[in-house]
Parts: sequence; C-alpha cells; structure tokens
Amino acid sequence: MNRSELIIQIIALATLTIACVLVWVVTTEVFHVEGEILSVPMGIDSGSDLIDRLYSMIPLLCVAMLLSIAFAFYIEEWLSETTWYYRIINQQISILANIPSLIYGILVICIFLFQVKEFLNFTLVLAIVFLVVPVIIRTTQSAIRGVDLSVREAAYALGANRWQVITDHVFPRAFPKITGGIFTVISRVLAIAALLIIVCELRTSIIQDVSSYEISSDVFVLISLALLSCVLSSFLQINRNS
Amino acid sequence: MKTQKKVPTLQVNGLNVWYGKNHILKDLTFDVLPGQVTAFIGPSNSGKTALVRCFNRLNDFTSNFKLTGEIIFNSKDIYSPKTKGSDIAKQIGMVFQYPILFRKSIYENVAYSARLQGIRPSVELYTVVEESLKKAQLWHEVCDDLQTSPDILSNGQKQRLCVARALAADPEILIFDEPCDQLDATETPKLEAIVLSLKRHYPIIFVTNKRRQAARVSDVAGFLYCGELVEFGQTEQIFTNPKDKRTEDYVTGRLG
Repeated sequence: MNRSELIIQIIALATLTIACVLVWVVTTEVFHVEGEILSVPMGIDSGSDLIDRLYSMIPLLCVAMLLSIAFAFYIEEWLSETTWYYRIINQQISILANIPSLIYGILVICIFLFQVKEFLNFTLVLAIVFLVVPVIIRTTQSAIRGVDLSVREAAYALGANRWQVITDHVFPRAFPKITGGIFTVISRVLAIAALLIIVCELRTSIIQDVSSYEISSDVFVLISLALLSCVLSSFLQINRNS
Repeated sequence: MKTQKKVPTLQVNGLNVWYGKNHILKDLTFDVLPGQVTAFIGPSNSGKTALVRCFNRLNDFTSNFKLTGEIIFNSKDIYSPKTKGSDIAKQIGMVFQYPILFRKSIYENVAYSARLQGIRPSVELYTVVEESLKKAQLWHEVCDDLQTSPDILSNGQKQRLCVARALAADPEILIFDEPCDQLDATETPKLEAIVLSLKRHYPIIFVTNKRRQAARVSDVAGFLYCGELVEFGQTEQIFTNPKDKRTEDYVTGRLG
C-alpha cells in the first residue's frame, strides 16, 4: 500500500514537471522571451489598461469555474477512488492547489517585465486558470465528500438514479461550501491583480523617471474587494456546516 | 402449522458476498414469502446488514464488493446485467438504522419518493402522502405541520416518517434494518405495531439484534452467525426448539 502511494506521488509530480518544462520550452523557444527588460515598447501603459484586460478575463474565469466544478463532480461521483488515474489526478490537484498564489503572480510579473505583447494574454489566461481551477476542484471535492453517505444511500434506496441523487441532494448540500470556494478563489485572483497593477505602475514610473509613486485607488478597491470575498467565503463555509 | 403453498417474493440461492478479501456471506439459501415477517437475528458483524443491502443493490456503491449466486425477485434476477439498480430499489422499500431525512419539509420528504415513481399531479401526490403517513401511523401527529422541517419531530416520529417515505414509493417488499436501535422504550412498540399492521400488504424483512423483538414481530426467523445462515425456520421453532447448538446458545443469551 505504502509503495503504491509513493509511486502515485512520483508519477503525479513527474507529469506535472513535464508539463511545466513543456510550457517553459514553448515560452522560451517559440515566443523567444529574452531578458531585455524595459527596452521593448510597452504592451500595457498603465494600471487601468491592465484592469481592462483583467475585465476581459471575467468570462474566461466563469467558464473555468463552472468547468472545474463539473470536473470535481465527475471525478468524485463517477470515478472509483481505487483506480490509479483517480489517485494521480487527485494528487496533482492537491499539489497545484497548494502552490502559493504568489508564484503565479511572479510568473505573470516576469512576463510583464519582459513585455511580450502577444504572449501577455496567454500568460494571464494560464495564470488565472492555474489559480482558479485546482482550488475550486479541491473545495468542491471536499464539499461533495462532506455530504453524508447515509443521505445518498437513503435516496438510492428510494430508487433515485445517480443523476437525481446529485441534483436533488448532493449539490444542494454541497452548494454553500462550493460558493465559499468560489469566493476564496475570487479573493486570490483580486489580490494577484492588485499586485500586478502595482508592478505595472512602478515600471511605468521607472521608465518615465518619476521619483515619486502613489499607489492608485484601483489597488485599494481590489484589495478591499479581495478581503470582502475572503470574509464572505469563510462565512459561507462556516455558517451552514451544522 | 403447515406452510401454505405461496409464491416466494424473494428467492435467495447460494448467495456469497465478499468485501475485498472478507467473505461476508457464505452460501445463503432461503425464500421470503408474502404475508409474513422474516426476521434476521445475529450478533453484530454477522452480515445481517450486508445481506439486506444486497436486495436493493446498495452494495454496488461499496468498493471491492463481489457477489455470486442469485437473488430472484419477481422472477427476475436482481443482479443480472440487464436489471438497473435504480429500478430494483424503486420496488424495495428500506428503513435504515438511523432516521435519515432530507432537508425538505415533512410533506416534501414523503412526496419525494412518490415523485421518483413518476407521480406528478399535486392532488394525487397529496393522497399518496396522506395514505403513507396514515399507514405509518404518523398522520395525526403531523397533519398540521406538513410544511415544517422534520427537525421538530422526535427520533421515533422521524423513523416513522422514514417508514412513510418508503411506503410512498409503493414498494413490493419492505426491509427494516435494525430500525429500533435509536428508539426509546415508548417508540419501539409503536414501530413494531406498524410492522405487524403492514405485513398483510407487504412481505417484510426485519433485521434486528434484539432477540425478544424478533420473537415478538416475526413469523419466520433466520439466525446469521459469521456470515453463515445457521438456521432458518418458523420463529417459534427457532426460539423454543432450535436444532443447532449455536442458535440455542444465541437465543438463550450464551452467545453474542
């Protein structure tokens, strides 16, 4: 048992590493991201320009959330827990979900500093997807597991099929925790966005050789929204646990 | 008394069940006849619950579950690949050890199982709910609070609501899996009375670890011990004149 756990862990790590290396190769070889900091013409002029770009990511964010909730239901309800692919997927998700969101932020910041225009959107998408998907899958999974087995059995015993059990019982009971997870993710995304705006504006002020820098109001708005959704998420997750 | 020639509702032939490497049930063969209560007694871990969970295919959700032999219900094999698990479960009502209710009103809890049967019009639904609650002898206690949450009910009332919910699905057989474990001394007789009043309409399988309760409620009893069906016969004979030494030890209280 112990050895198989180890093998699963190694496979999960290895596949993730290979994926990272692939991304790295693609970015350096295909897009030729090289270290000419600050010399390339700017893709983004100011923080508000960045905010516009982030706004355009909202539909993507929603789709990513919905898909990851659906995926979580799929792996929890349809895959057997003993199969090797379930265990590998599970392990990979927990590795990804445990990566501090700042690392994704740093990834994006590096790309900002390098300022490759066509690459910028791709990185933003990548960072947001990696920021959102694992965490939502993880919280949805734990919400689904939190639903009492006896409730499912009672419904199955009445002749409900798997789909009816999910829509009538599992989803309503897991819903508060799932929304809690969504708010956690929103706060993570907002915090990273605030950080990006600061970096972006700092870069502009360095280029323009301005010695004083004031943090723009956008940053404060984003941070307060992030805190608010943090509070909401903890409220949702605690309030209806009983 | 001679047993009349009745068509058995449920026939179990050479049933073997494994959970992983554990051989839970060993070669069981018996019939469940209509119009009587069939009780299964035995100490804990003797496979009583595993047995009844075979009938409505709840074991399908247990990992590493394996079954050989056949269970014939209405002249169909429950475990043949053609039968759908949810279709079987619709015809078999089950009351669990704990009263498990959904987060809906009392009315909706009962109506839910009727809806699963395809009953849609509200008038019809209401009649089904009322009838089931009356059969479960709960109607007079809850008829004013149908729209409230079942949290206000006592444990015994909740368990009777579970009985009503199982009845609303219009089952062909009823299974009680240690239903009185969580009930107090005033509620247990009420549930036993319901079982006795229902046995005219439904064949009933009653699992219990209380010997006296089995003696009170059942017509036919089976003694399960470590996955073996040690003895299966008329309740009177099991309790007064057991053939097997282990049965005798169990009913007299020396075993388990």
